[in-house]
Amino acid sequence: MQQIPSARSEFAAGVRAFMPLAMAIVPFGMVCGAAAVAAGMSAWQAFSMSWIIFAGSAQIVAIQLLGDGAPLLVIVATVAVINLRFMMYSASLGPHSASLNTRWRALLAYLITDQAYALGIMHYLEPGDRSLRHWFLFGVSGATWVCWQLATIVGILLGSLIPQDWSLDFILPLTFIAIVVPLLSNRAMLLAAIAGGLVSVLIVLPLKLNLIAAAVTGIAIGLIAEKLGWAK
Amino acid sequence: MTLPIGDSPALIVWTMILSTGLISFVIRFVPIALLARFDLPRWLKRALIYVPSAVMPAIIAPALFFPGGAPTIVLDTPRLAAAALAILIAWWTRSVLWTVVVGMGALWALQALVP
Repeated sequence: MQQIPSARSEFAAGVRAFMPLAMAIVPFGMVCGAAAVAAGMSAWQAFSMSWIIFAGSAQIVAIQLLGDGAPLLVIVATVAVINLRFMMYSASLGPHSASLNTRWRALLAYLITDQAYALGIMHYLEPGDRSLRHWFLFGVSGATWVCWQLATIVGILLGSLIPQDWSLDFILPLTFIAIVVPLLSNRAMLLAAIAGGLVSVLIVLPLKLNLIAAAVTGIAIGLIAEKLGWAK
Repeated sequence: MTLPIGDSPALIVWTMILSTGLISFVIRFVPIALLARFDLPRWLKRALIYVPSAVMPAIIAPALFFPGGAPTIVLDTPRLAAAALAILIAWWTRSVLWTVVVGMGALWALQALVP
């Protein structure tokens, strides 16, 4: 017999679905916390970043740019570019959230991350009663949030103790490699990635605008490749 | 070692944290707030698909080629070799954990071998 889902069972299922993600979230959160302290932020500033911004890759880049003396406007614009993908996620959650009030939507929006979105949207698309599935998304993304904050605190506390010659900063590019490589499933995606990478190291722009230039070039190359029929 | 952000006044750091936090929330919130009624234009959806593919390598490449932080390309063989191995592992396993474990292990082994 099909069990009728309740808010509580949806939420619990979301938290359970989150569990395997912890293995990726914990090291990333620790790296973010440690990187902020290593760059000279106070523990309180480092922790505030992790809940005010709540986007690991954007946090890391913001720390680097601030350390390099980039203007505030460039930092904000770069963070916006890195987080543009959340706009896509948020848009696709819109139709599933039509029955929710603004407070619920604001909560789900604030908690959007790559992994929680991927699990949440898959669950929304399963057959059956959908009326309480926002509780599942809240379960995944709420657990992600708690895990992220705890990992960040550990990173802040341990970051200053880890010797420089362990090269732990290398975890950062490794994490991003693990995120981006599975996305490169067609030639258009691959060309967008190559273009983004090349522009970021070969073109030196004033005011640390490289990342924005790399993103715009990569997106343009991807769209051109798609027009040429290479997105198959 | 000098701490780059340690020299910034606290006000600048807090302004950065709050303004980047605000833009991050606006980006996440506006579509879900409006899209029960509106849809993103098709061209924007197509373009957004390429954002992660274009942005992530633009974060990875400087971390690999500018180990000193300065915009001068330095060929650090252990880092580049370990990153190349990590790309293969990421492709085969699709696992963040395995990619990080094998990549770090390879970096430490190569750093021990190449003095």
